[in-house]
Amino acid sequence: MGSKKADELMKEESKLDMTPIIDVTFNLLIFFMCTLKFKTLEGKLVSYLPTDRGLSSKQEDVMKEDVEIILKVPKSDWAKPAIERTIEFQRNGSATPFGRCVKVAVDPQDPKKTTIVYDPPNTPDLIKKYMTDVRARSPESKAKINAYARCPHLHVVNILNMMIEAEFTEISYSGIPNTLVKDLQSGEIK
Amino acid sequence: MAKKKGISADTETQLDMTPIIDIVFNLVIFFMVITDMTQQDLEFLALPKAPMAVEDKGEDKERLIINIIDFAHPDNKHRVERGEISTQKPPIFVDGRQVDSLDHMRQWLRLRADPTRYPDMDKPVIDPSTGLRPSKKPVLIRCDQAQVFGWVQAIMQYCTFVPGNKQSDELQKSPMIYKLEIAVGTNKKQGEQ
Repeated sequence: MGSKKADELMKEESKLDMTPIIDVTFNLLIFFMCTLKFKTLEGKLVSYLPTDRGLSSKQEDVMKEDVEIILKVPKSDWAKPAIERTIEFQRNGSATPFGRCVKVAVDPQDPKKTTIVYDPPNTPDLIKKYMTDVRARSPESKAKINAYARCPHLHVVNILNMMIEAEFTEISYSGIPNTLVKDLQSGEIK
Repeated sequence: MAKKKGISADTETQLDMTPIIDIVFNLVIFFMVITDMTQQDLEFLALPKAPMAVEDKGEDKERLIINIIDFAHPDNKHRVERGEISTQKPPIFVDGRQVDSLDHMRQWLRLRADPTRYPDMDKPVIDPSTGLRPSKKPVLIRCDQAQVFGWVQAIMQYCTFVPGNKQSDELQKSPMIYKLEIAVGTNKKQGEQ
């Protein structure tokens, strides 16, 4: 009789209550599932800034055969959201633009998907052809992006990509005066 | 008969929890391993696509990352409404925090890019043509495709020398960073060349 009671007591003591550990584990699982962000593959375009004292001191160094693409934003579009602005692509020394970007269609479901509408539609091809022609004539030529501060970053990267495609190794950017930096900080430029 | 019924009810209520616990533990370990806590300084952005970009392996954990967000993005609009970010400050984020001004960002860059802090350098390298001590660290600029390029231009200038400022002041304040990386999106999948 005594040994039966001892057996029952032993059985009761050996039971392990798993409920708290399951609770904690499930909570951990939910936390990790909620905080998980799948790592998206990113790329980078590498460039070197000029190692002189001040960006304006090399302005006159742009030679005739160097490529300089100007990205203009018409004043009438300054009040529009940046991505809706018309961008005019021009080369230094020519009043006739290659063309314009008239629309950037952003997928509302996925902002990473964008379609750029050009007028004329072959504007990127014209820019690319101009770059490759210059590069073929003078392999030592440099490239420069002269973008308005109000120009969306998207178009600058597109031009930069074209320059790399045309095998330019020295690419520089135009600077902005302190007044524009102040306008950026005050919210005048947005 | 009644006794038999009682026995069958007892056996039906027993539930073996071992397999579910095994699965849940495996899932927890899986999520712990793949959650990358080191990428906390990357803001959610719509990066412009560039097919010529080189893959960013992000091996240098100490590299400087500057995020430029777009306040008009729906996610950021909610953050503005909640008071997490301010439209009165620049849309620039470093170490997961919004900077107060470009000068504030410059101080952070100067502190992090100080060439004398490199353990692999016995003494700072001086460029003989300019007499400057450029930093070896690159800065990665992650700018939203819808944001104006002016911010990138301003950052480039604040990495080197701000035109119009006194040169003696600039030598004290400039982070002297000359290597710039612009983050872009790629259409490539992981492992693709």
